Amino acid sequence: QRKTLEEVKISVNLTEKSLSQFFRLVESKTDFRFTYSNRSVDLSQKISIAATDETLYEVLATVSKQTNANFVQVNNNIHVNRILANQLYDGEGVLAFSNIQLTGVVVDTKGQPIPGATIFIEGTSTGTASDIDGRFSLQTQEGAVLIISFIGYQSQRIVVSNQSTLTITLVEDQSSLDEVVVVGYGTQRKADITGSVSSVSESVIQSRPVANFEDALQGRASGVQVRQTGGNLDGRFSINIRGVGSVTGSNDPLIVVDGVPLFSSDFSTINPKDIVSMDILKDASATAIYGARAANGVVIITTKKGKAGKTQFSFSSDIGFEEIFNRFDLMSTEEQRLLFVEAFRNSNRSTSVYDDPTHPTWQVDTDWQELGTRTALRQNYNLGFSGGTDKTQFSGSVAHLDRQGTIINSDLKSWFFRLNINTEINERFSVSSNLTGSHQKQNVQNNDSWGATGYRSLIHNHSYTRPFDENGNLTAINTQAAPYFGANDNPLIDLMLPTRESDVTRVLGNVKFDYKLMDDLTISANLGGDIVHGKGYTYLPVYQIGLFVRPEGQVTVPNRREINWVSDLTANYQKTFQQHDIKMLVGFSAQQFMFDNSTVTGIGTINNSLNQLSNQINFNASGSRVSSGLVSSFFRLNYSNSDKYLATTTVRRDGSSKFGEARRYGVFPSGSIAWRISEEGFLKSSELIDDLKVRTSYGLTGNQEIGDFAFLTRAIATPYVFGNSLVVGNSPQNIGNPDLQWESTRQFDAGVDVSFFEGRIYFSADYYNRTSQDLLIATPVALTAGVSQNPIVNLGSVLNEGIELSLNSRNTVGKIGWSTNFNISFNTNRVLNIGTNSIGESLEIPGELIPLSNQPANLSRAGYPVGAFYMWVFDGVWQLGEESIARQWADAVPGDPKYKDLNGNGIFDVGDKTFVGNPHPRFFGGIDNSFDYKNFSLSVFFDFSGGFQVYNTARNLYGRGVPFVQNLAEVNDFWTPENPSTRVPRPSQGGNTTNLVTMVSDRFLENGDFIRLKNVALTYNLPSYLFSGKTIEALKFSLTGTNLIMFTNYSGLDPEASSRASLLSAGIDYTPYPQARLVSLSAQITF
Amino acid sequence: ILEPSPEGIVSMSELYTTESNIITALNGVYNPLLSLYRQNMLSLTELASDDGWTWRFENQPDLFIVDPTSGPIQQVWASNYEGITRANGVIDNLSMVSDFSSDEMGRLIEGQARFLRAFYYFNLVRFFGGVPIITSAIVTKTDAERPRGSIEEVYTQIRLDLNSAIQLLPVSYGGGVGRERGRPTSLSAKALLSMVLLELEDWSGVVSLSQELYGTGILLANYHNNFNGSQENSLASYFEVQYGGVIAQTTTNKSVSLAPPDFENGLAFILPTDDGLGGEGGGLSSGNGIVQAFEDGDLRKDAIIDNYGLSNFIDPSKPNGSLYFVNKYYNTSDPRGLSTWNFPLIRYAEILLNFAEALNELEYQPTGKAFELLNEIRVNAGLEPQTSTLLSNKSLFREAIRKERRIELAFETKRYFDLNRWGILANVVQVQMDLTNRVFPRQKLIAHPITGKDYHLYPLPAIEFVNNVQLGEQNPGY
Repeated sequence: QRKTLEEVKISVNLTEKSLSQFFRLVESKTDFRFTYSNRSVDLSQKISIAATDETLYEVLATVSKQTNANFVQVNNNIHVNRILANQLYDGEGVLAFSNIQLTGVVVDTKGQPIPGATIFIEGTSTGTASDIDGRFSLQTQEGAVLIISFIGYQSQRIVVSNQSTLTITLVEDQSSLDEVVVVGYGTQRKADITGSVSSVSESVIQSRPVANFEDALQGRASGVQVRQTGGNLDGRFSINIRGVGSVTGSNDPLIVVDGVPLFSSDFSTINPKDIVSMDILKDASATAIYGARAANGVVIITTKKGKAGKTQFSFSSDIGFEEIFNRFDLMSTEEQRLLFVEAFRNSNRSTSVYDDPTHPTWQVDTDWQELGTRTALRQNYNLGFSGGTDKTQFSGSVAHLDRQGTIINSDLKSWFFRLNINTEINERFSVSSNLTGSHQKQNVQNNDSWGATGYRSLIHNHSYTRPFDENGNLTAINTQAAPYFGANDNPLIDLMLPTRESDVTRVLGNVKFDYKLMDDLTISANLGGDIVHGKGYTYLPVYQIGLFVRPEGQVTVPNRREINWVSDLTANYQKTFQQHDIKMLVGFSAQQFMFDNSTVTGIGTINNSLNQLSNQINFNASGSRVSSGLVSSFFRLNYSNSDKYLATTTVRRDGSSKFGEARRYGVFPSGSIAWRISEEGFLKSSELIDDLKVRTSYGLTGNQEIGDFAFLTRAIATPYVFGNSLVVGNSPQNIGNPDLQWESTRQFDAGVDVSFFEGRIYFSADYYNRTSQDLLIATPVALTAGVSQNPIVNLGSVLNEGIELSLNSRNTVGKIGWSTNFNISFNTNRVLNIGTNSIGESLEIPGELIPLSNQPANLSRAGYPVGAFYMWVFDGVWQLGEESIARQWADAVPGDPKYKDLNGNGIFDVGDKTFVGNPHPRFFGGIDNSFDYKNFSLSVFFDFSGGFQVYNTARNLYGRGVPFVQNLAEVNDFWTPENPSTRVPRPSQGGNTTNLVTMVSDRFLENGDFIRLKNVALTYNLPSYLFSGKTIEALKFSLTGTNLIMFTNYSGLDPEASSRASLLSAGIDYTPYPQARLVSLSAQITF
Repeated sequence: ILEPSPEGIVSMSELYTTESNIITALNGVYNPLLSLYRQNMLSLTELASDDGWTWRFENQPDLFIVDPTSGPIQQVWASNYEGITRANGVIDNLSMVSDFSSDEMGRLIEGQARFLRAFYYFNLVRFFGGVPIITSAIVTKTDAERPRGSIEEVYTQIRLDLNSAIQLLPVSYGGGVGRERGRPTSLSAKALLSMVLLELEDWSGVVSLSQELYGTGILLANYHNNFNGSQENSLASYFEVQYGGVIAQTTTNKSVSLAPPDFENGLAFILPTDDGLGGEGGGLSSGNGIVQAFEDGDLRKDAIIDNYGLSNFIDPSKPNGSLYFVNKYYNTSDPRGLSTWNFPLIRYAEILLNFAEALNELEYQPTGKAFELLNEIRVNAGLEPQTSTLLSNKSLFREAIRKERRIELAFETKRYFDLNRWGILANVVQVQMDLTNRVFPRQKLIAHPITGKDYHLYPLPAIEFVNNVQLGEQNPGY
């Protein structure tokens, strides 16, 4: 029973407090809520009131006298309004109910009317529905709250003020069960899906400026781990879905854009602004339709499609600044000098050149990191348009991205266009086509390697050299300066003088014909293609700067062309008999991929203006060409009984040219069932649970991503010379294996999807168990085999097991809309078996050798994660008094590093190595909180990852106390007899100490756990009434910040850096292009 | 679609079927020489000897800190086996060739492959001792997993191959495909065999081969012409690594890695040892300095070493120009880092010195042929001839020969092998090690099973024990 203002008693004691404080106090003590519009009431007005156990009516009357506000009770709300001159005023400011006749229209975000939307008055059963034009009319009171809802759209609350007409815009609801999910060769209602699929919506993809779609995907979908693996401004990311199953083959998921499965990995050439959804197929049931390429999951990208209606344009622009958010902490020149002295003394060398601190050399302290980086401008312009008639719709865009690099002399410019058209030729026949093109031009820096290139060159080189001479020209140390050895390049020379361009041009598109043969049967033909042309140009100029001389210029021009075409023919049959729904798909597909590349290097020019190939005198060229193909047939059956019991079965047969004749074909079946418990009688009327579905699947998928012609013993060019004439040479490159076949993955999945409270809370959980077997493993072969490539065999298995959770909840709290999206995934990766050698011992595959020490940091062994970290365990520093054990152990002396003698034999040997870490995160995920308040919306997105380690090679090189490279500041705490309680070994330059400090050990292995404020976006939509009757329909501004804060103990630039694509060398940080903090302002106008 | 023709890819089995193609496979057998003699061989021989040292590289054989995971060890092992595998492929598949233009062509191909296989095994046995003996093509992975043979067995295989090569190969080549100058001749095979016999102290064997070879070669009047590309494949040498072309793959960067104007990173990896440095380099920079080993007036000195003309960064109190570098291969005529100069592997001068050494070991003869041979070299170098007055006994003559070899063959990857076969490596290097308070790792010496001399062995690459369980024992001391 609702109480009136007279029935509620309250005590209030306020002196000179604002009206809004008064409202909050009353709201906290009663069930009433105040409703008002900011424009009509000044909330900062001060009031004073002292009331003890008085009725609320009396309290409000007192307040009304002190302000220009009056109050009306509307159900449980108290509506606040300004007292108007012509208004009936009862002298006490608390008005009686007044009825108003309200008319309105309900439209979607594109302005199209929504018929059938329901409009209810909150707290009553009074309501109506919108008509075919979206219009409605309703008698209500001022201050009432209207709830407008329509299936597939987010409900809206509107407070009735004194207006009599309303335009209500409904926003599409992302978490609705009626959402359509793109699966392979078709779409399905989310409610009907029996497999495990994550979807990322347009609003999430477009929530911040991103480099490419992988970037937008990061942290957004459970089970999907995205991380940077090096690269340049175009970003090189790796996507791992449900862990990594293949040891030496590819772990990249299959990417399908508008029905075209891609081969190329130049994903930065797909404009992320064009993407309307990304659907990630994860379990075998969902992926098996892609058979031989589905073992690593499938990402389906859909670009924007047109809608009938008025042609609408949308122009958006964002402009922002990027800066490197982390840098290395290095020694000062004086600290470095002291390091030289100590190191040379310890290595029995003359220190005389370093002894005099007043020598001019030591007066220079250059901050290369400062000079080599900058705050970079990023601009993005995008013009989109869409529209059409009942029969034909179109959508398109043109866009330009101009991004400066945070490292000097690097930048990226991209141009994009897209045009998607659908036409219904007649009732039975329709055609759709998608076409996108892009051109990307990039100036790159050589990053991501051990030594002094790219960002690493700014750490590597000593601070005691000057960058510029007195005329501002680049300078370098000359032969007279001492000491002139060591890493004393001017790194700016290599960053600034050479030209390193990398261009990619891409055309990607398809045409699809749908023909309705019968009402239940549709035949579709899809023809698609993807053409990528990559071209580079590197010019290393002639210069003489001090000792640094390049007497001849060098031009390198690489060219690469990738052509990928696909043609599919599918038949879709759909039939309902009583409670049985059947959907059937049969299809055939052929796909071919052709790749050719060539590189020409010319050398010899002595004039920097003559910087083209034709100006050179000596040339070196290489090139190759390869093609591979896939011929497939597939079948899928979806069955649903009363929307309650659902089943899907899929089978695909693939023939691949990657394998020898005997092993060419593979069959990949899968099946899944689901039970929508919520459709059962006992739950159907539940007010709590709207939808509850349990599902499980099992199936087999394949991975064929190995090199081509691995089944042949191939010849590799090994030229030789007689006199000065080259002769052709050919030598075996590998040991061919005619029995090679697919890798296959068996995956079990069990999941539950629940939706509570009218879809306000949506929760999904999955358990999976994924065994990859017959792994295509390049087994290490004895060097006595004399071939450069390890033979590839089908061997062994890897298990990935994990749990994925995602939770979306929408909490509408008063006027502030708040929603939370959270996902977290746990994955355990374990090598079950990678085969045995000839006498039955388990094989072990080491990772790539870390330079200088020439030791691997990773080792893949059965029972441990793929590429697990395996190395010596650092155990501090040998101390005075331990001379004799140290000498016996490894000829060490006090101050030398000590590694644990794990096998207890008293000496330092390989038996002391052990497993010390895991490069794969045990858990990762993201949490996004969005708030809507009036026309503002705020999104705060964190992503996180934990339970993994990173090998910091920068410390392995610059943290050794070997002074010939610049050292990190942490080395200042080096051991001396006077400073014994430290874990930093004594400095050295050569000899046993240097040898020992260079060892790959867990001294340089760090926890990578991080939580990062990945994105904050504040958006303001200008109120729509401003534009009524104008050309402009909407205008919004956003301020976004990306990578704002990172909480991590990792001491490198980025704990996600994993420089090598090969898993066998996972988690090694060679300092890829540093991720940047971006703050940008964007505007979007729709007209 | 499923049967794409492999473009630019050919299976080896197809290549072995015609003469012109198997010649390309034979050329591939030579190819590992290119990378071996750029740096890795020099690293394991010159750095480890008393002639070379390095200032910047920390984990080098200079200090005899070489563990089984060392990069040069692994690379030298792998490159030599690459050559062996390729030679095996050629020899095994000769019978598949259906179109030999002449019987001689088949013999010539087999002879070269056998010569090269022996050459590669000779490198391996001197570095590592007994190694797996593989003499047929690798078809499956396990074919490569063989146990170590003994040192004697390896030498048996080497002698077998060289004796056949002597029979199969011509005395010279007339040019044309498969007959280019620079391929080993029967004389080359004899020369290599004489080096093998010298290593094994089969003195009379050396003498008899040397007698056959004597007069088949010449000494160049200008010593530097042996190395500077002007007299490639002349009578002054029996076998050379052929560098040429314009790309890194077929040229050598020795000029850059040894010489000063290209010295911007201080990465010269071999500097000549110099007593004048007083042990200040940290490496084995002095003791037995080769800079001091030259006699006055030796015409070879300027070709072998030259000074930087720069300030002395080791010891600033020394005058400018007091630091030396290896000048033999310093090439300013080719583009930087792309030197086309051949690297001699067996020179006529070495055969003369082998001859003299073997004669002296058999019997010291005060006015014999040995003096004549030694003096041929000395006079050509502008030095006074040695006489029996100065070298009055076997041991003095031996010392003179050793000294002459050191200079004549300096930085040609010979010195380490010489010191080792003479059994004096440890003693010679210890003199240098004394300067930095180190001890030569004598636990790494074995008694050579054929000569009985103290013999230093490098470790087999650690990775081989992982990938080949049949391999057997690591060398002592590792």
